[in-house]
Amino acid sequence: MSDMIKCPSCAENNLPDQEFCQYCQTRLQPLTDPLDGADAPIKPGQAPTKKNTAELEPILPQWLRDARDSARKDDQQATQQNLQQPSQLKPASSAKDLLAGLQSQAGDDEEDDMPDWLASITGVNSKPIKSQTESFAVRWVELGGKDDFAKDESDGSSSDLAGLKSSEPQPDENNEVRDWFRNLGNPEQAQQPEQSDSTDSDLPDWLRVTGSQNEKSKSADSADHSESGVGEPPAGIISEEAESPSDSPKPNQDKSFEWLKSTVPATSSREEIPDWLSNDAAVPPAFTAAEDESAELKDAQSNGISDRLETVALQSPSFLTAVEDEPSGGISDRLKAVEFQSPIHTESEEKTIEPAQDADTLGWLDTFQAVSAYQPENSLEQVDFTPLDFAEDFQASDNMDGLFTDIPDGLLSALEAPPSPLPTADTNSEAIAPDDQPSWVESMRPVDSDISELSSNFPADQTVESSGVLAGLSGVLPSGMGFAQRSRPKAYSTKLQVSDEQQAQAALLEQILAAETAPVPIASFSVLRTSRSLRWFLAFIVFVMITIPLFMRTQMFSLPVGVPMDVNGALQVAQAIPESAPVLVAFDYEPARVGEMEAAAAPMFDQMILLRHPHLTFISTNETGAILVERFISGPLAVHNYQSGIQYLNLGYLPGGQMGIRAFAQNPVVTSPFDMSLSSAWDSIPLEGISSLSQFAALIVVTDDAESARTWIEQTESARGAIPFVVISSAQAAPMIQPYYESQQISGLVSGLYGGALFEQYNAGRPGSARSYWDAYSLGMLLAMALVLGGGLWNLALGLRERVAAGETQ
Amino acid sequence: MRVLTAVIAIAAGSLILGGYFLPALADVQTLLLNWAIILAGVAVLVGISNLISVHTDKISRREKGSAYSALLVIGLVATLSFGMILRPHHSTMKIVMNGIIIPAEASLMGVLTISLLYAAIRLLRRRADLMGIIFLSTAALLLFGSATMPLGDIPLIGTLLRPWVTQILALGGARGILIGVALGTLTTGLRVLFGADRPYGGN
Repeated sequence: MSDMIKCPSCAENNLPDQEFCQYCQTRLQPLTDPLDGADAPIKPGQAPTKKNTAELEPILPQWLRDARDSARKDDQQATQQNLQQPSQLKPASSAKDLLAGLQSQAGDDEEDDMPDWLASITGVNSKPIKSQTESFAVRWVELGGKDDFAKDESDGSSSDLAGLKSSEPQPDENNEVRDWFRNLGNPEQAQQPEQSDSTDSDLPDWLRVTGSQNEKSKSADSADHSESGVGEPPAGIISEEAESPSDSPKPNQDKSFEWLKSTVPATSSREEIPDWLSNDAAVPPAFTAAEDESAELKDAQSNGISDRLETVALQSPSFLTAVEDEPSGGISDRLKAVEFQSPIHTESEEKTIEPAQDADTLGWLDTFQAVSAYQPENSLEQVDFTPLDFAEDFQASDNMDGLFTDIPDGLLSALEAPPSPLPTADTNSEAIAPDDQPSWVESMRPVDSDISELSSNFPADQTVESSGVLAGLSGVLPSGMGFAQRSRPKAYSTKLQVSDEQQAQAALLEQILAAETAPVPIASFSVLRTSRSLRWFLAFIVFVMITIPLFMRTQMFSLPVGVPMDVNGALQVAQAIPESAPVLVAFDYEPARVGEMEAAAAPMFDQMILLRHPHLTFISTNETGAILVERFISGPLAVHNYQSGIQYLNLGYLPGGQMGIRAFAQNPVVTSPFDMSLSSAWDSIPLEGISSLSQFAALIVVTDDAESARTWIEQTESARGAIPFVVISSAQAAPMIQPYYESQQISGLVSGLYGGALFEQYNAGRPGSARSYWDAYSLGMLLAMALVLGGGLWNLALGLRERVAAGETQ
Repeated sequence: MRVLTAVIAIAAGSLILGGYFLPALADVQTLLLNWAIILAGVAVLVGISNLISVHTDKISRREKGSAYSALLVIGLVATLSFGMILRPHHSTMKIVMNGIIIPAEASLMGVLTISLLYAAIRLLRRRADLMGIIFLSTAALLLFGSATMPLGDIPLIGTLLRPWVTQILALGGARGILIGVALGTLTTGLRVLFGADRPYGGN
């Protein structure tokens, strides 16, 4: 049951898959999907986008477009008629195309706006309605939605308003009230003698009296209305609408009260009501709906439908039933309340009524006298529609609540919207221009009087609605109604509530953070100026102390004594090389260290050449290595007269660093196929029969860089096999190469001038380069040691004194 | 692109590493190494061209020291031309080497000697702490022990302290450094192989 769809019109449950209500045929499923994107509904806070409603016309439903077309056509016809009949004045239309429906109805045919039941109530047949459907469509479109009228039509309790909508008979058998009420527009049918005769016995007394009274009052009403210049007594209201439709902002609401006004006096039978009510002149014939109702009841009883009559009585407006049951005194009070809601009760009417009031007549009856005496010639400008204040009488009524609870829905809605006959100023004209909204939206907007009333109740709430049908209206939905905060909000202190311990911990944390971020002064040293004189002194003394022994070729200092293990290993390799064996020599040192490296390497090569005449193959991973090889051959080894391509071969530069050494170790033929003269290296005499690194008799690396020595040692280890490996290095690189000798990865190590001098001693002092440098070298070492020690101590003393002086100053 | 470079680097490294252990991959290893050697040779040429362009730009803008830049460019072009025309083993190239390159670099080494000596003398004035004193004392000891006296080695220092310092202390320190270098190289190689480090580009 929870899945059942409840019809919004008849409140009947329907299956969820039904598109239309099976009882009233009301659409249950929406025709469109929820709007989104640009068509999404306006959210609160958003300003409505101004749209040209003319562009939306193609998407309107057919019935709406037909209605609008007919309205336009009627408007055009009216305009043409005006042009053709310039003498006839027509009321100006304040609204534009969206109100064209109303204008067309009022302008084209004044009688079209007049309900048939009102037109025929005088006995005069109204003109046939040309386009009843169109005018009807326009009317309900401007009132709201099509379904709203369908709902009203299907609702039997509100069918009493059917006469306001259409004079056409509705073939709905379920709507019994509508039938009797429809007959209100056809008094002849309702006053058929056979019907009244057949039901006289069954009807209540007041109904019978009413039925008889109807005929009596008919002639008098006709006379009254003829005297007043109006052919149709209640048409005073209708003519007002017809003459100035555009000036009447709430014509439909006015119509909704007509049945009530016509019903109220009719419900009181002449016999039961007091004497003051027996005045026939005060009872307009147009308001004898009760008589029609009695005729209807009589008709129904004549057909033998007594039960139906009861049903009709039950379905008749409840307030009418209450009127029937209550005494006249109660009726008067209630009618005062109704009179308060009456749109035709105006101040000018009261002025007209005052001289006609009888002393015995109650105040509420004056209204109907005023209606009968209504002068249709009075324009709206002459009539003040401001309703009188019946608040006291209204609130003084004891049955006020019962009256409104028994009022049908249609009437209740009308009561809730008290009419404002005078066109009120649109206070929201700035929020939304009237031309920007379709007519049906305009008609759905709340009545301004309601808004003003709500605004007066909640003056502070002037919120402008931004979405929905209330868009642009301010103060329509007061936020304080029923939801106002009645208690004072609890005050919370913004002060942080912490304990002393927490504050202490927070302070400690702040101190820690401050200490972390606080800059720590760096211990700065005193600026020590560069002693240019000291530099020049050092340069001069070193230059003098070194150059003098070199140029004088002194040999005061003795060569070192003893043979270290590493040097001994190199000596053994040099002596163990086979005769004319190929020896690979890598020259990887910088030209800046030529003096040291040549002095360190010359004794070993001199000994090898002297003893074994090896075929030397030179290669270099340094760009200048190839030229240094030529310098070495033509320098310290010049006495051996080694020829390139015969005794030695210079393969030149080996690019790639470690990768080049690795590639050369794996495949030297491919890696370095040519010598420096671009000849095929591996076909030359020094490399005859050699295709791999392991075929060399020895590998000697002459380098001043420990990294180069390490690369040669590590990358050629697997390729060189068991061939001897000797490193001749500078004194600077020796400590880093010494571990490879200690680990026996190399066979010998000759480092620096010291190692060359040792090796030279075991070579009979050949070639003598180490010896030539040794005095200068030793003198320079001693001088440097003396300067470092002496200068260091002196500067240490100066530094201490400065620090002491600085401490005393501080 | 980053993935592609990583794949290439890891694959090349893995193949070269495998060439040390698997003889079947030795040829692949040699091939890749030859490619690397070619690229390294090209890199030298690129470096030379960059050097020329930088100093040529300095000359054209007449910046401070542009004369030295002009001298550098002239010397580079001349040496390159002589080397390509006369070949490196030509006597002219030997003159260039013996008369310009070697004296210039040797002179720089001599200036460096004076500067180091000057710094050693002034060290204790700026930093008179224990390490400074030890540093200078060790340097003085080795200098003194490396030299000889007219009558032979310096007793005790040349025969005992210097060998002990060079063969024990220096050797121990050098081994430690080499082991650290080896571990660092191994770790770096593994990180490159695993793609954690991308020195060729990326992270």
